[in-house]
Amino acid sequence: MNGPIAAQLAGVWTLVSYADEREGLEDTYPFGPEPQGFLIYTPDGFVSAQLMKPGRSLFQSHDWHGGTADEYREAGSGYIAYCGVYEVDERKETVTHIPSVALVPNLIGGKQLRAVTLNGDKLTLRTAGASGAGVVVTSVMNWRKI
Amino acid sequence: MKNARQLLEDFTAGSFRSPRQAAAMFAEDGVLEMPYLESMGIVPRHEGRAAIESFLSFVRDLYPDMDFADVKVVMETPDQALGEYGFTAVSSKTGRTIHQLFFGRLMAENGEIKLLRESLNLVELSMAIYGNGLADFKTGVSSATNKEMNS
Repeated sequence: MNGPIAAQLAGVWTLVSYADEREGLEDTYPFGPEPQGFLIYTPDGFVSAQLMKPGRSLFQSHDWHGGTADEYREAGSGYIAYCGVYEVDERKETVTHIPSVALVPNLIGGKQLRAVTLNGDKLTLRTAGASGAGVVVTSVMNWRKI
Repeated sequence: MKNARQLLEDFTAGSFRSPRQAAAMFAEDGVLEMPYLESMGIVPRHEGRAAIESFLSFVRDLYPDMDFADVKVVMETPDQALGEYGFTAVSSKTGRTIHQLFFGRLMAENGEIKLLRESLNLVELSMAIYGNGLADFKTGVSSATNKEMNS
């Protein structure tokens, strides 16, 4: 990939913060105050995203395939994971992740489109939506290059 | 000094890639209004450049690749213009491709936007902001209720 945004994106990023900013309300933190994660862009167009809420309960059975429903629920709802390819639009200053594999199957083959804000070794990716009651919500993920 | 038509054309040309720049086109007490958002409980009126910039930032985050297209000014006087315009863009929230059509009435004053009032397709909007489209919308909740919730 060519272009200044693509060149800056390539590499490994660590998650600094993940917050849901709600219009007129307090921010919330879906993965707690100190989420952890990595976002990896390869120069030839692959992306991997792994984010987790720290402190999730261990499976009592210590068996990867032997968790209870509650254990799987907690493990899964506190984790975002996918890998695939990405595309950069330099003019529109956007990046699109297209997962080939994902923890949540709904993501596979879909487009995760984000506006890119780069500032030195800092990257911010946002998504916007609303609650069912109409409260505007912007999810903000801040990353730092390592 | 720009007239209403020029302001409407300039406003739509920027596509909010810079929300601050777009908000700066408004008068200090300028208003951006989308009255039908009230029906979905979303705050419909934004007054002043800071509030407008904040709302346009939300739009930019929702539709990162948006470009307005087919901008047609259908009626105009020196201080007012009525236009039709739209976009096709991918929602950052749902990944759906959204086709939106606007009717916008712009009032100009001293070369700045005094008022821009827009109507839009709420069904398309719901497909952009809700995972299940309108099915996720909770009826009977107005922005007035939201203000109460927020206070």
